[in-house]
Amino acid sequence: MRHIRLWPIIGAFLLLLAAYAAASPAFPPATGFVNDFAGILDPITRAELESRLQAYEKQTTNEIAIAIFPDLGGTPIEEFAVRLEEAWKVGKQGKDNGVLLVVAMRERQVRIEVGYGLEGRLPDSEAGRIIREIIVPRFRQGEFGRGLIEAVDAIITAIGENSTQPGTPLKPVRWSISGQFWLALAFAIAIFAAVILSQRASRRRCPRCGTVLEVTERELPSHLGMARWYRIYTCPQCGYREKLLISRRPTPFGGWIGPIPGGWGSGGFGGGGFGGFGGGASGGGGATGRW
Amino acid sequence: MRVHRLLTAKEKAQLRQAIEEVERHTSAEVCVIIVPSAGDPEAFARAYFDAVGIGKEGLDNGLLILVAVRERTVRIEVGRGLGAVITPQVAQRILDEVILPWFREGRYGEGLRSGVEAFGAILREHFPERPGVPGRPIPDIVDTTEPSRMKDLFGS
Repeated sequence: MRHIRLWPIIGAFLLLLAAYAAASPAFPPATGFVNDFAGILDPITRAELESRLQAYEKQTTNEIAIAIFPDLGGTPIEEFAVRLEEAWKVGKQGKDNGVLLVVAMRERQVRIEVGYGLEGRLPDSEAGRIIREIIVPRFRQGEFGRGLIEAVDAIITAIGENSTQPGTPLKPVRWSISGQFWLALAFAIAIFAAVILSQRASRRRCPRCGTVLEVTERELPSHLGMARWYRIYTCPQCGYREKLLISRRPTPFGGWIGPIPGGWGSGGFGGGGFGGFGGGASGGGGATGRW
Repeated sequence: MRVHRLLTAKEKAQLRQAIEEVERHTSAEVCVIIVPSAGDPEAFARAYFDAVGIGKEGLDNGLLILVAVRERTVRIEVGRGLGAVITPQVAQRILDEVILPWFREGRYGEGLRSGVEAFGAILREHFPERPGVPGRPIPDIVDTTEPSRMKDLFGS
């Protein structure tokens, strides 16, 4: 193998892996609108919330998601909620009409994170009131399901039954986080294959003896003081040499620039069998409470 | 609409017997859910199905009959393992020709029992009992229209 050509491939692969890692922090993928990672909801309550929120999304495109965690691993709930919102992208892209309700069991904390698009209808004061007057009293009595159902009702009442904008329905994105990984892997493999194939195609033979020429790439200083990259063909049989200028830029990638992994994190990637949220962004607004 | 209960204790016992009979003779797992309101019954049934994981592990052979009283809707959710036999057409036919005629007369107990029996007859033919990996025990009947159950379910 011509070792020099391998580096861009490895580089690209690592970049894609890094992009994947950056796009998916330690959060589990969303399983639906109701994500009970602490296992506190009975199936009926879960189904009730899920169907309510799905129906509401269909009707208004507003996305209300619930995430219940056993603990936050030492992260303040405000930061946790913002990062979770960044990972899950609750709300439609461009509309930011998502509400994320985070419950932390060990910390006994609740946070309502409101997207920019809904802050007018669900201001922090109203979110705070819902936490103080509805969620906290119920949770204190251990009535988590009822507390959440009533909180969802209150949030829906505040936001209203109308769509934020008549906007066009977004195509459902059915890529899971792991799908994203496989996509990255497939992409890397495709690049690898493409490079191999193009090398095969550009394989040259010695004009003197017909042997396949060995290829190396080297940076050679030019008389203008500017580094130049050359591809050097050497015949292992008769010692024939040929220099070919491939780049004037002194790039360590030998003139080949890997794909820039932009836009990877910015789709609406959901998780699991769930269609995924629409790609909204956190609005920075919200409210927090303890029970 | 204030719903007290759809099934009498006797009807419920008969329905439970019918479900147990099906489960004794087939490898499938049957579950009847009665709720006062489901919002979107399809989403509800799917979410419940996923939440409890009806059906034996690996076989995915669960069958859920959801009765949403306020929506006056019956939704049948079939596990992937049974899908080849209980196709949507088969499920729809049993629903339209067996369950709903009874429901329209207000005889919910009869409707559900004959529905379960109709599914049971097909299942018995195609999925004779075989030792599967028993999943988590799932209640055969969940009826949240009973005031006493309401408290249990929402109280957890």
